[in-house]
Amino acid sequence: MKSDELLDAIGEAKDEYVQDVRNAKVKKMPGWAKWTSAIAACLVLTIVVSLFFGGMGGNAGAGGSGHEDGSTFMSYAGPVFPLTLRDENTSISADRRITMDFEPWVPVWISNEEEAASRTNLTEAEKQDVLDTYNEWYPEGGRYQSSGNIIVSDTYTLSNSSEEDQTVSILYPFASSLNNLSVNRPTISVNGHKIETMLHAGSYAGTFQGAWENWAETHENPGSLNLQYIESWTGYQNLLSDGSYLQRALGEYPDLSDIPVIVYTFTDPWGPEEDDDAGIPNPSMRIMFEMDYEKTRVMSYGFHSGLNDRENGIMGRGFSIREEGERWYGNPYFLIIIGDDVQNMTYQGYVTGGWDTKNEVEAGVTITRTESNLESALREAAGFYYGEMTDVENYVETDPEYGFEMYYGLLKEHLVAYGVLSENGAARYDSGWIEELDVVGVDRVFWLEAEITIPAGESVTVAATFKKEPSFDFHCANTENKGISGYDMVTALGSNLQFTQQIACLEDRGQIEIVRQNFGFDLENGIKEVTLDMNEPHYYLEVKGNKSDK
Amino acid sequence: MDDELIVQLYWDRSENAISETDRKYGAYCHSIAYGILQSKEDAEESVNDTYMDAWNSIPPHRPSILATFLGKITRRISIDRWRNLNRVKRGGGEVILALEELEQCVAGSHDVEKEIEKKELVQAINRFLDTLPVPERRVFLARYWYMDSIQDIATHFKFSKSKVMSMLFRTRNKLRRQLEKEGYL
Repeated sequence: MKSDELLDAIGEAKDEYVQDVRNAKVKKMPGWAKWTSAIAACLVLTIVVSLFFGGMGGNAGAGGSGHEDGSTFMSYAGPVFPLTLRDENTSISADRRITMDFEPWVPVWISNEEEAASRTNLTEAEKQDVLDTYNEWYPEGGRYQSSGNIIVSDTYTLSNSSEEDQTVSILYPFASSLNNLSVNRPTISVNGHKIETMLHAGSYAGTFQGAWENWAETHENPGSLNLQYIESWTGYQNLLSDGSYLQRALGEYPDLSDIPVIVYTFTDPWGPEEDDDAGIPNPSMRIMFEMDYEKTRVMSYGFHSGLNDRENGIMGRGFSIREEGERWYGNPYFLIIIGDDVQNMTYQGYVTGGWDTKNEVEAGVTITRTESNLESALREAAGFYYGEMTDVENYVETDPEYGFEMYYGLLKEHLVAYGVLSENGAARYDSGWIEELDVVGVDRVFWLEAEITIPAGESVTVAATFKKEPSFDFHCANTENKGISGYDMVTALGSNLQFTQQIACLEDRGQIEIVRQNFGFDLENGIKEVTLDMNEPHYYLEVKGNKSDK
Repeated sequence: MDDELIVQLYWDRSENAISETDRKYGAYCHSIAYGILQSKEDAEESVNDTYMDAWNSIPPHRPSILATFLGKITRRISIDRWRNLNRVKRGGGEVILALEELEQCVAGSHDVEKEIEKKELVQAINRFLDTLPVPERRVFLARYWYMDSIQDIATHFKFSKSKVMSMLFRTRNKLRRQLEKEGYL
């Protein structure tokens, strides 16, 4: 027997044993639950063409019929949007030329030698070991790699027809989440020189839906427990067409300083050590208080269990007592009370965090009551949570480019729109836990802003260059779009520019077969450049790989 | 979202199944994959593959513990990926260390012709785990199922590193004795 076989067999250990280890680790790191909710949304399904789409030879579908406006994909990447100006300027006109380059689809040969040389942290002997092994795996001397992204070059020639220089703020939009900014953020250049831009973030671009109860019977999904992302370009049309979404993105975040709050801060919790044999698997603190549910709203940071007894006017919140050495040990816990204060607050330690647990333990915590405003209280709590999210062990960027201020501003915005401060809040956020608010993982439209000057009677070229992920159906869903990648663009949505023409170019690199489109490309006859109809708001291109080895 | 509802989404072939799985268990799966692969990008790909595998497996499966169901897929896929890509990368990965440690359990096994049914071996491993005290079982699985580093195990379970190493050494010896006794070595 080999140790490999043993490792595989251990992988089939009983579920309850595997789960038990997870539970034990979670109990030791109560922040895990919060981390989970925050980071999970950031894991984007970046499906690599060579793994899932390539070489599948799937049915392309009949094509055409039923796809007049392009397919509705299971995973929609959003369209390429046009440039706009912060303030409309009638002296400026624009020629747009957008190129969709399938260069990332071209399989790149990575030789075994290159692979070994890339392991710069290895010794020469170890590199040789790598090379020997790769030569064994790839006796042909290397392997091919490719991606399903395309490179978009969205270029504008802005012409100033007036007799005065025009200094304008350009705004280039793109769809992304905070978490994927580093991947999706375009590079902006003016006359071939890269320029610095200011980032503006729109609010959550989707809506909410229910939890699919009774779906089979009713085919309706009322409720607001789940996020519902935009599924087609018309969703973005609804979002951007009246300009209010952009104005919010360019404006100030909500100021909550006029909302008085009472803050209960819980510090230095103590209790018995975890001891399974003694029946104390997860020493926890439970805070109970009375409140009028009609007059009081409660937000929290750090708590991860709760009891809502609306009928008897009682609320409970709980947390596992962190022990020294555990992640985020020493962080305070906050209850932020909006409206009437809560009454008769008590605390008690228990052997576990479950609310059906009756077994008490000796435990304590220091409780401090202060009067403040929501802006200050929320900023402090959000700061602790931001620290958790960007902790080096969380696989999220430790120093994300959006920074705390944007995160905090968007959190406030989400809270006001959908959280406990909203009259029509989403059920998803009923707990009042700030960790539950979807901030970093949800889709938004962002704008990059820069100021440029177009001399009188002259032109300036502005170019946005970026990688664009495809829209797709999950391969395993076996839909007619299996193996098909979709890319789309809008011609005027959200833009105040006066376009004189728009041209689309296709750099197919010999990699694709067009399944559906409304551009008018014709690869067989070499038509790879088309002038777009400005009356057509949306163009789409759906392709599949034409290489059996892709 | 409740696990049963998530599983139902898979049965309904709703695309929300994957996004909800990702929300609830993405970080858990990612931590397993990262522990094995030590690469954020490779871990992400493994987690994506996990969702694909789950989509293909549910239905017909209706897992009772969704976390473990997903975790096992992630572990298997990540180890396979590690075998394909990083087998020879020494020094950083916990898998290579875990394999070296597990050699202690199988070293000197000369009966290479003997084809052991994997299912049989799994049963033997589970019988062995049944016999272990809870702390030893947790430490053993943290090391050889989750591929946690010795330091992480020491931190999570509040043992010293030497205590963890000593527990693992004793447990591996026990495993070896049991495998010998049951005729696997």
